[in-house]
Amino acid sequence: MRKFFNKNPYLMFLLPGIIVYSVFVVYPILSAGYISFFQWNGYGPKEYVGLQNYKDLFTNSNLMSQLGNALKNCLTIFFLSVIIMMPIQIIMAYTIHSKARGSSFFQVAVFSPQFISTPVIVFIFTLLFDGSFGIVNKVLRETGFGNLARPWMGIPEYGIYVIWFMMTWAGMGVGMVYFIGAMKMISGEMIESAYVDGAGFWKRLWYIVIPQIKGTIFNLILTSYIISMTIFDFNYILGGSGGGISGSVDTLALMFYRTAFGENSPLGGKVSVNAMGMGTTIACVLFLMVFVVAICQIVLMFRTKKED
Amino acid sequence: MQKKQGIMAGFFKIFMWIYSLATFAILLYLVYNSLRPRNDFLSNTFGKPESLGVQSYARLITQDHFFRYFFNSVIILTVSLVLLILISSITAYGIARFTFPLKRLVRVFFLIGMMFPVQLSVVPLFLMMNNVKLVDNLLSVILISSAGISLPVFMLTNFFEKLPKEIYESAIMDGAGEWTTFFRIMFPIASPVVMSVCITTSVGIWNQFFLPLIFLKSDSNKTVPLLVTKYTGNLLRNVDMSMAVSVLSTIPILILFIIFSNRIIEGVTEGAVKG
Amino acid sequence: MKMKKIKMMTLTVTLTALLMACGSKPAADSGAASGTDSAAQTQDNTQNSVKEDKEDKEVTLTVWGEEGQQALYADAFAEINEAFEKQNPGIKINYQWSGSFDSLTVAVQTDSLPDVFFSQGNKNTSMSEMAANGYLLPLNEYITDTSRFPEDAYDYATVDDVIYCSLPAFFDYAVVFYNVDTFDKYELAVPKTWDEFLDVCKVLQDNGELPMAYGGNGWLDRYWLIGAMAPAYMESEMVTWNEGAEISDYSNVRECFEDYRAFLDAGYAGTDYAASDMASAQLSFANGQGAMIVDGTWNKGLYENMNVGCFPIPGKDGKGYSQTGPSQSLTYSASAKTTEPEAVGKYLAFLSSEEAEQIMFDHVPSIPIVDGITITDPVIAAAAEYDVIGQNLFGVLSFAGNENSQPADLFTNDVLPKLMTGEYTVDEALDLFRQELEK
Repeated sequence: MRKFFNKNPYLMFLLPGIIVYSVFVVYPILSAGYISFFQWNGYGPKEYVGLQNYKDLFTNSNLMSQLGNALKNCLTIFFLSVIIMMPIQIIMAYTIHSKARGSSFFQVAVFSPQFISTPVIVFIFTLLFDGSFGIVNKVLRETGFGNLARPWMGIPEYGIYVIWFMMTWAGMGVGMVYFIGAMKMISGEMIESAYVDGAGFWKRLWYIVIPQIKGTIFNLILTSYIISMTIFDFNYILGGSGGGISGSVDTLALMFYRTAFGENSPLGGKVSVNAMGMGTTIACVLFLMVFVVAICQIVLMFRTKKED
Repeated sequence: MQKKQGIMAGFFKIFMWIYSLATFAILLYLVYNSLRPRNDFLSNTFGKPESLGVQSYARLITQDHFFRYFFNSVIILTVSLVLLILISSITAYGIARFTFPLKRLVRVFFLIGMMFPVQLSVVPLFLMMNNVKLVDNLLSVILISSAGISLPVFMLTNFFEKLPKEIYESAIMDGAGEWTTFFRIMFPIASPVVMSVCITTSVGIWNQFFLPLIFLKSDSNKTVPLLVTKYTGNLLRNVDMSMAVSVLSTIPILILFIIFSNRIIEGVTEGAVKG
Repeated sequence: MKMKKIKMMTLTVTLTALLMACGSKPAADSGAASGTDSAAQTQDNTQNSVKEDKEDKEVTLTVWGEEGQQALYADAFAEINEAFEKQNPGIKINYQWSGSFDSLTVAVQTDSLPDVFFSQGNKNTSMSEMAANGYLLPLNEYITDTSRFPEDAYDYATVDDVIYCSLPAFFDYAVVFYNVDTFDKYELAVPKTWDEFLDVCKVLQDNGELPMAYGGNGWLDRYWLIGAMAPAYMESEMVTWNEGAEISDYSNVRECFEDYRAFLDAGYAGTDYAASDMASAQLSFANGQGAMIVDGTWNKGLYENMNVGCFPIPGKDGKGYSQTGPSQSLTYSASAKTTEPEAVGKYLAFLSSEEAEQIMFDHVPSIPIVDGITITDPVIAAAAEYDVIGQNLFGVLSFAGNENSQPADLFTNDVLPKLMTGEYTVDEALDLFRQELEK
């Protein structure tokens, strides 16, 4: 046995992970994905239909428009995160890394919203930004800027931006912490030499730090993509399982949930005929969308690595 | 040119101060509201409070047995975290360090876990746990949580790849076996990133709500997030308790975070890079 | 040094894990979550109790209450369970607040339903689905006295004349809460007709008050107003829809939509309603900024410390309309696979009894639909002054759907919000609505 492992040392390291992961993650996914080949409402008998669910999904204009809308929302979140949130995270991380005054406070403060549960975050934002009742508008009116007061939370077209804003406030710390960790790994010598050369904050950041953490940046872009595609909590709370007015905050995961489990509420609910079957189909399609793009991103990452 | 950088750097520092203070103010507002009696908050939302008191907290601790849930959450967090970090570190190291057939496939394989909604995989998982009689046992949640290695493996692989080869080679030449090299030398060097992973996964595990909802049934086994949702499910009606329980569930993890993050800022450097 | 640390950690981890696997097992055996465990243990019990008439071994029933309502019903059920156990020594209730739509779905799909679990009766198609597929225990032999209950309650709990859940004794509906102080200030009386209602709004508006706090930002939030209006305008249409048939004349529906829009256009709900959700509307009302609010009687507790009254939405004919909505506080179903049908039957019969109902009322007052409950709360008394119990629009639309159409979804997610914001005119909204229903 020992000999086998010594010949292929990587197996030693990989086996535990592969076993645990396959049992608890992969097997359930396969088992659940299998259901997408059936027509099933979750209670009664299952009926094998092969790829019919997929065909139905892609030919049903209502479902396709829902899917497209949800996809658009997810991608909006993704692009906003990468273009706005990520640079801010990098700059924050660097500020903290260079031990500016107040760094400990920054780190804790920026990360802390992550701990608060989602309904409370939504509630806080309601208290702050509500059109008639919120503090922000109140302050604006009291200080004479009343014409700037807006129904921040309510305009349907802006719903997705509100969600993004909440997500960002809550999640700013996560990426930042990873960037800090990555920056710590940059060899001290490189930074020291930069100081000696007299490079300022900005130059140091741009020419030295960022190239060194390129890997992390790519990783977080990919992670951000996956998270944007699978986001669920905020949308569910703000928009219910319907995804808000004309689906303004609908996302793919929410669409899956709505189809598979039906819309349940204190008023009543309904289980549709092919709830689980179609729901699982949507989940599989979602998975494929994420998977394919993820592969592309990884391939791209490897290519640029080779160029290094 | 120098002056420009100074201004930019200064600008960002100010931005950070504003952002941090604003966030902090919001959190203080949360704490403040948790001290108000419910009716005061409802009818006098933005006015001066009639009284401030810790009655909500007292109720949480005595009537709701907050510490029972807290204890369960702590157990789940510590055991899952240790398992998860161990497994994901060795896996990431394995992928990063060695070349072997199907390497890229393995990398992608571990990413799959993040791409599926958890509600879907819960049914097969429940069946599994039911068959080994682990439902309503903390162990079920622990096992499933420890298997959430997708993101940690992904992040750690990248870092392990960047570690200098010379150290590795010199260790091997000195006669150290693979495991020893890993534990004594490579793992400690990667500790800043491992710390980052620790922090983010801790928060995820501490706050997770869906798994405990499905797998933990009796009151003695429940975790803190379930107590939180008990009140936030009908937030406005239970607004005082909702605020209090949110604050109370945040404090322990916040302390943990402060401990971890101090170690990051100061730099955990056993086995320095230069050495 | 690190190595030792890691070894220590792994050791502690394994030890803890082992401790827990062993430690929790006895707890799991004594009747916690799912089927196989309690089945194995209570097998002996059932064999014994079959031989003898009285149960001499202790039986434990696992009951799932609705997790989201725990804060509200916890005290009530503690008392109910205590009373039941006193009357039935030998039956222990293991009541867990772990039911939710998700956990029930998982339980159904993994065949691990608990003995008893909360149900929404026929408000939700899942009960009939479960019944049709043999997941529920028929309760006709245990709940024998149904004469106390009105027909609505009976319909709620039965599928094809077989009772599948304990019967509801209360109902809640969306009323108009009003601020008594504000009304007194302008010497306003409770309106008895829709026109009087509009007059009241006008007086308030002319005096600079916000007549109604309305949350237009959530699907459920914006529904309440029109849901409350619906019975006053289209009761017979709704009954037809409920039976799965189609209506030919949409003029009443049109009138309802028009009056809804007219109400909003007149500014009686303010200008920012599209941006506020229910929470902010409720806060506004509680802070005295809105004179009225359409909210459910189940939320009466929010306004406890205020001087509020309530009235059902008045129709043009002067009648007060409520909407049917049996309270699910006491309605529970039983799993067909339970090993203790006798005990389960007794428990569910108890939940349908006057004693349990009175206990529930004492803790969480709502409008009773059976006799014998003494109403002590003035707000509930006012809410009970309705003349007609109308249909519940959302429920009706859910049932009117079929494989090709989802009128409930269309209404809540498309027609209503756009009608509210004015994106659709009444005609457009009506056409879309009609098209969907005629599918």
